[in-house]
Amino acid sequence: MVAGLFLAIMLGIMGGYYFIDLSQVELLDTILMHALYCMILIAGIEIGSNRQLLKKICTPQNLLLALALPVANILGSLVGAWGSGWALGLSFYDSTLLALSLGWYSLASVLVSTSYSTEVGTLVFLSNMLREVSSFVLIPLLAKWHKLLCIAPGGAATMDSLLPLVIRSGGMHTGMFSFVQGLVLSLLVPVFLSLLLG
Amino acid sequence: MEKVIGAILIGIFLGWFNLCSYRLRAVLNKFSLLCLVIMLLCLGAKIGCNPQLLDKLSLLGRQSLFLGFSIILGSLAALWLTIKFLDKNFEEEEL
Repeated sequence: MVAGLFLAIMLGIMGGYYFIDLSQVELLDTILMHALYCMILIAGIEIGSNRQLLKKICTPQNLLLALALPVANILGSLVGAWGSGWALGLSFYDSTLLALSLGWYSLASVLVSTSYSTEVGTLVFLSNMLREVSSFVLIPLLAKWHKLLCIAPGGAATMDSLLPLVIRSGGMHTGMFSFVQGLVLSLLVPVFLSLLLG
Repeated sequence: MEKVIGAILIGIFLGWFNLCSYRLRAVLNKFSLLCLVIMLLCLGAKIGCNPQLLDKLSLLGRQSLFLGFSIILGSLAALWLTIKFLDKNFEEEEL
């Protein structure tokens, strides 16, 4: 899957280099946004279809922790991005965009690339893609230390592509927290980026 | 940007009230993958047709590596603190 995604972007770079000039970027943006709307609609259907799972975790003893985990993930991502962004000389705004993409590289990179800057969009894509790819290695390792901690690296992807691995590594209990964290983050990414990008 | 939020809300509405059959959802998931590939091709093309950006690509790759791991470390630290304060008995819990 990951190799396929990298192959797609490499083919895109080659296609862009040989066949497309800068005057056609507007057409690319239009295609990007329409593909994005379709993908977001389908992601919404998946979120809505999981209401039974949501009901299971909505008990008073679980609710506080289930809501605290995504908040902690957001704050931790911000601190990490601000620290490394400062070391790399990135602006506070760019670091915030990178952090609040929360691992949803497909949505965030397109929005940042079309509404703000292709350069920052590329950074958003690569750093968030790395976040998801390294999560496949980190989740089983972290689950050995503390089951619930294994949902930390994944960000928004903990409700879909990483969920089977979380359940296998940390059990169903962790899987439910993982789903809620991914759900909350997935709902917040479009809101955060809307606010930041205007 | 409102269209993005509108699209996710319409999707949640359709899913919540089971307006899409299981079979349709399976087809939509495949369509979603196709959309992702189209998006990545276009994103790549945007990078490829911009010579200035192409020159910076290896630098951006190194920066992304540093940023990505810093974000993961930040998330790990924040979740560790949260779990420590809110869920001391997690290992013993059974659902």
